[in-house]
Amino acid sequence: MELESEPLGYLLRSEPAFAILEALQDGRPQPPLSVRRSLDLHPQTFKEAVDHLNDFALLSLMVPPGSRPRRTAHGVAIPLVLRITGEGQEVLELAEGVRKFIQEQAHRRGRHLPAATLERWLPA
Amino acid sequence: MISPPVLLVIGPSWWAKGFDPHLPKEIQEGLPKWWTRRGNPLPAPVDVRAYLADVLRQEHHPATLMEAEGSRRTEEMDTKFFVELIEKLPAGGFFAFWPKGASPAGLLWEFPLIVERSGKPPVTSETVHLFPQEGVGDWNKDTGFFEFHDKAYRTTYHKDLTRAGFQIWKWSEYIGLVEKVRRVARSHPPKVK
Repeated sequence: MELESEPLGYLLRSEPAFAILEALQDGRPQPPLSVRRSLDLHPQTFKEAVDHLNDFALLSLMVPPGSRPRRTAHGVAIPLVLRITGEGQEVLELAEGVRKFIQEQAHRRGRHLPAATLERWLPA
Repeated sequence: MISPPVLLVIGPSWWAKGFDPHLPKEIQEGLPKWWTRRGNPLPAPVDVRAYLADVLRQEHHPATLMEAEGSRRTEEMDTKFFVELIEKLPAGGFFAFWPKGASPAGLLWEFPLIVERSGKPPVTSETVHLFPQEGVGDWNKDTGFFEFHDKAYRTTYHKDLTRAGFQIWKWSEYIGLVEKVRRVARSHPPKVK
């Protein structure tokens, strides 16, 4: 299985996806725009990451109770919030553990590792 | 009779005339043995729903669809039968399959009936999962709203369900849909009573 098609591998590879799940980690559903703005992500980067996380069922697009639909030029629009799923919590915790382990090891073995690896895992 | 709580897979039954949904071989040849295929030569949306119900069963969710639970004769009886069914089945939840190329009329008829059931137990965003195919709708990165792309849809159809809340799992290809249904099922393990 390719890394991209497996949730943990994807989460370790994608900084925006990791940041989005971390922002939702407390379980509180949040509107997409406030998550995007708090992380200062480009709209397209944010959308791709959210869609990927939703594909893996790590994050759900939820219509919160009490919402009201409205008409738009394209059809019907419904407000959304993003919420981390139980599986999302599990995979995020695992990814945080892997990242922590890699960072510790990178500190220890620093000068023997490729510069690109250090740059990726030990950002200044 | 299936043991509670049951997931009901709802959605359209037939493709629009001449529409080819490009169903993968896995679905065309993998319909469950407990189901009598309705579409010919292509599996119909109702057959795809049976396939998805089977995927849910593989993930230990008791799942079914209205068409597998008995027979009706007239349109009027459809409503009565569906209402009786959702009253009878303890709510495990509803998975709504919403593909391109099929009339959503049935689905839009089912939504208010499902919400009407509230109270035994209530329909919430935890129990209703909508699976629209790309093209039926998408969320807008600039507004943060989910938009259903059909000017013919009236907000009145969505009002009750929207007020109750639900979850959206968008998909593009059928293989992706099957995998997504499986993942959502795993992410929402059956509640044991």
